[in-house]
Amino acid sequence: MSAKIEAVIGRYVSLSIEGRDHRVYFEEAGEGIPLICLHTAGADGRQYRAILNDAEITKHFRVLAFDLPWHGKSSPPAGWQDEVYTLTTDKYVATVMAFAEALELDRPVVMGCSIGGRAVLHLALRHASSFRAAIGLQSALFSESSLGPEMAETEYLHRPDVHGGEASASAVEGLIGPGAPVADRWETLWHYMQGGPGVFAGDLYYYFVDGDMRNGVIAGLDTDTCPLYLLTGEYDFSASPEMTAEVARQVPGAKFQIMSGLGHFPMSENPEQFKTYLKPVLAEIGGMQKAAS
Amino acid sequence: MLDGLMARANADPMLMRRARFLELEFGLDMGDGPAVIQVNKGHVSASAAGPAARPVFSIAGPKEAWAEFSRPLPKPGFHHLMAMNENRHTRFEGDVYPLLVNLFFVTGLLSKLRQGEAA
Repeated sequence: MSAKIEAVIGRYVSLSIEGRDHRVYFEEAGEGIPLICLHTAGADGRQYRAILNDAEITKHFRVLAFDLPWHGKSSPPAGWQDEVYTLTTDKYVATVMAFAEALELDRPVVMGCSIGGRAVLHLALRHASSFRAAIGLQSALFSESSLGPEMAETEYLHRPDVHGGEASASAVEGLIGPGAPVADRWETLWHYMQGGPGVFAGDLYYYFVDGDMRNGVIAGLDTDTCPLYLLTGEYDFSASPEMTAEVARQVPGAKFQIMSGLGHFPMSENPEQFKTYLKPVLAEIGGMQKAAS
Repeated sequence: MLDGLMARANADPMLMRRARFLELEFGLDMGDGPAVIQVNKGHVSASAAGPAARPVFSIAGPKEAWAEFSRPLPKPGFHHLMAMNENRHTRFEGDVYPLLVNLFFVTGLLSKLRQGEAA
């Protein structure tokens, strides 16, 4: 057979999240230490396609990328048509914990980007002993946009006379590093164009409002129990290197590195460049030889 | 410079396809004085802004900022219109709603600064 078939397997799992049944899609590849990967707002697990397909990583890690409910191939819960989707801190944390428990993952590593980069901070704070380590990509304590008032007033990401997918993709394009391979840049944007109506906007509630960590709570993060690694692309102006540096300042023991040439979607916009930063972190966590990277 | 920019933009059929239903006038000042960009259903043109010009929104910034923007690999903060805005290298004025909902067109237009003549 000459077909080029990836080793990635996609399956569905039933999860109860905050008392509601959800059908959640996830992809996985590899064996070893579980590595849960959290996608950015308005996108889905395909952002981690290059990690799932890296034999050097999957030799030592069981890489798992699930689509948040309402995203990708995960369904919204029954009754969704009568509500406005809104992601909260509690819901996000409950979703990740439900996924890890359902799959009986033994102290997984959790890695997330953007909203996922925020979520790993909340997870490490609330459930440190459940995780072997946390890797925050584009982590920040908060985020703001100078166009926030216009976004709120016009709701331009979700209104009947605007294509929300294209509006969402165009809103994030500038967060990608200018040297990203063209194919990976537009693959990343395609995921945004495919987002369900109002989903990106609903995620941004967590990103801009509910997940705001400028309340001092971050000081309680225990990196002895759950080591924290922070990797941030230098071209990101939404969760900038300066903002991640502030996280590192407030969390004793956190390890922070700026990623040259990369923007807000490192694993998806420029996977090969990203992996040069990720692999040494995975080696330190365990399961990979540094010399092999 | 704007004539060259308009020529390159009009020569890109996929960019012009994005604007095939669009009728819009907006201001653009790249340090050489205000201009008005007219988008008319798949065609774009530029002219100096007269005293009566009232574009719905405008984008303005100093020459130096646009020069960095126009390099093949600009520094962080200069690599995209929205990055320039968030870092205050450029400023938006007026009603930005038409900009936000046509952002791929406007940023696609400005990306033509990175081809051929630089600012």
